[in-house]
Amino acid sequence: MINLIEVNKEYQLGKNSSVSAVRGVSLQISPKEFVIIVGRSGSGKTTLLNLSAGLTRPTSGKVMLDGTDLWSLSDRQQSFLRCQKIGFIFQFPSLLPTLTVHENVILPTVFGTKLITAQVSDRAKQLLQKVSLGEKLAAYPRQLSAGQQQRVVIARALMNQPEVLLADEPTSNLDEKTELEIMELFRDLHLSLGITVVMVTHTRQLVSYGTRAIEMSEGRIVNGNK
Amino acid sequence: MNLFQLALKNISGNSFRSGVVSLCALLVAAFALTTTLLMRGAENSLRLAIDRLGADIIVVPAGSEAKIESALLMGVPARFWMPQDNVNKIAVIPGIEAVSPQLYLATLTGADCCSVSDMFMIAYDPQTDFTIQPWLNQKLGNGLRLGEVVGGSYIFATEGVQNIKVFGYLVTLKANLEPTGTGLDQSMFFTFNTAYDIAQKSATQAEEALVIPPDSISAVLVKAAPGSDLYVISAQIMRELPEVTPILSSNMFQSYRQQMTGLLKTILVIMGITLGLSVVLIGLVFSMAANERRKELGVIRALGATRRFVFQSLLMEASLLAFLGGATGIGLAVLSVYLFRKLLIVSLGFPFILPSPAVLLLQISIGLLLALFSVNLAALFPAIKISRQDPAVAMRE
Amino acid sequence: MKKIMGGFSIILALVIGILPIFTDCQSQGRSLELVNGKTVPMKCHWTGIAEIGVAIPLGLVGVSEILSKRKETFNFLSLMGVALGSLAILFPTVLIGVCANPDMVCNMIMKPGLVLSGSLAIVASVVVFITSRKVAEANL
Repeated sequence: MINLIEVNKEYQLGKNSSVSAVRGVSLQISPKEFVIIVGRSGSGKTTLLNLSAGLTRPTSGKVMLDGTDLWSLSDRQQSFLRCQKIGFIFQFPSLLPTLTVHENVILPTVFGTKLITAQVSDRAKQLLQKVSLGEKLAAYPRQLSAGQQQRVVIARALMNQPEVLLADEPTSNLDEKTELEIMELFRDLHLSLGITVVMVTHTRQLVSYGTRAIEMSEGRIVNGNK
Repeated sequence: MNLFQLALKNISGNSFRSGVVSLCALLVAAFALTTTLLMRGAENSLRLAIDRLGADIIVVPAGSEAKIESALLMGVPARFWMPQDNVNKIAVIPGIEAVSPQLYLATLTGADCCSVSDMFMIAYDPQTDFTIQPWLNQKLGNGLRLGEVVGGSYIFATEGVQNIKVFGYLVTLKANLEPTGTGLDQSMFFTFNTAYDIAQKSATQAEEALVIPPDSISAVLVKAAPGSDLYVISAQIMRELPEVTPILSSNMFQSYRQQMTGLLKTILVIMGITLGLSVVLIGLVFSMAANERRKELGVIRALGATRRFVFQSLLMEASLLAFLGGATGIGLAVLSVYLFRKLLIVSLGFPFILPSPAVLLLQISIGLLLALFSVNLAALFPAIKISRQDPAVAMRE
Repeated sequence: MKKIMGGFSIILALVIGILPIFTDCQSQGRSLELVNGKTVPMKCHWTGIAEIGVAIPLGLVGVSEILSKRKETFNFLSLMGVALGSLAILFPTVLIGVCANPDMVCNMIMKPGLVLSGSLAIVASVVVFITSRKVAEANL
């Protein structure tokens, strides 16, 4: 599914200084896994996730998605692959404020989809029903709670029937009760849809939701790699 | 949902930013269109006035050139005289096909509060005339009789009747000429016989008598034979009659043309500055917008948008705002120039006439294109910069 | 946007009410002399008086647009704005008129100023109508 081979990522801070966010990481994620990556703030978890999705170019090493080197593709090909195969859930509120809930959910289909036009709206409604927000189609993000917004983001991530969901600290802005609800939703999606999930979190208690746990520190995997 | 709908949603999401960009586009388009309307309108007006004269050369007393131009262009009444015999002397010059004398008269200022004040009156000789007569024959089927007049587009009679009082004498308005945007619109044309009749009766009927010096005319209109050299004819006229000045109709209104050119240069400079400032301001606004929205644009990239999509999306927003602002500016410009045309003529000191619908459409298109160009130019650099940014970097705090 | 259009309508109302005071023939010292020697104002003066009757309600429409929140209220205010803008145009052109002499101030400035202001008032009201519908849809 996703294969990272000796991947390094350095960010330039100035002329002569840089910081290594990820150091020599090799990681293989198989289909239908639910991988949870834990670590403190600044351990490189988010960067690892971004590298997996092709959202940032590695300084060295390879990022393979279904056997294809992401960085051997053109921007167009890479974007299309990302659109079709990856669903991304962000740490910050990522719904577009000028679009309604319904429009936000169907947004990925603007960039490419297997669905025909007539199916798009129906699928969006189904997904919103699945995340218990079926009656909020015409609402704007500012009219929803943080938990509701995150559910919409999950529905959006599933719109193009991706093979893998990448979630970057999806519950960090939520209260405990809502956090558990969201995690249950992830578990349910993983089991019912057979979708691969890679989730980054700094909350160790959530590790039990996954099929595998990996710990990162200072840009390296320190525990749980395979 | 497509690129267009997404762009539309984004511009309605931030009214202030969209308003600023639209306002800049409005100013650029309005300024550009107003300038072209006035400049082309003035040119058209001058051309129409020259066409209306119908003559190749106008001979006036020396020193009266400025007066005749003001009279014809701005309707400022002129009064100057030369001997009637000049007509015969000019008629025999080789290369001349036809000559016709004219008398220029003026009404009393403010004599009648509800008719046009400062009316410029032109008396013509129906026996020799070749400018007004053909038009009259076409329009009325015959010439003007004693007491009948033809007016420019601003001349009108009191409602219900067709009579106008001129120097205490009632004349009948038979028809109105098409507008030219010049002083000819507030002119009145009648025959020499009517002029002399008015002069005679005004001694007893008018507040102030109309005085026409005996055996005098104001100007001689000259039509050259095809293929004649107008400069040679003019030189000959000056040799025969040193006390007159022949004015080629193509050289007429030179002082106004120079005035217009001067004004045009100034306006072009101002327009260039406005355009430059608008582009800079819009560029700043778009840079700010792109920066504020970089997380959002990073998200869109993460969802599968290509760099090209992000670039096109920003330019689509720019184009929509340009179109909105540009169209509003153009609408305002056309409406304002049309409504305030008389005030503009008086303020600017030169005439203009609104163009035909086809030409107006062309000018409107140019104005819109200019607005589109300037806004897109301004948005280009920020759009390139943000579309090339690493999505992960864009989404960082 | 509705608040901006409301403010704009107030400005237009001021223009419509005040412009004729300074640009009718009465303000230039001109009036009609009747056969019996009496002087009466010309019709541009009466147009100006009528425009005050348009300006005041238009100003109130503007104030209401700033203060209101309900969609139904905006519908009504938009309709009123369009009607008042139309009247502002019709008074100097068709209903009463101004002096026919194109050189006179009422013809050069007052009439075109009123027509322009009336047109802009109509546009502002249409914009309020359109934007109030969008808000209503969003609040569903």
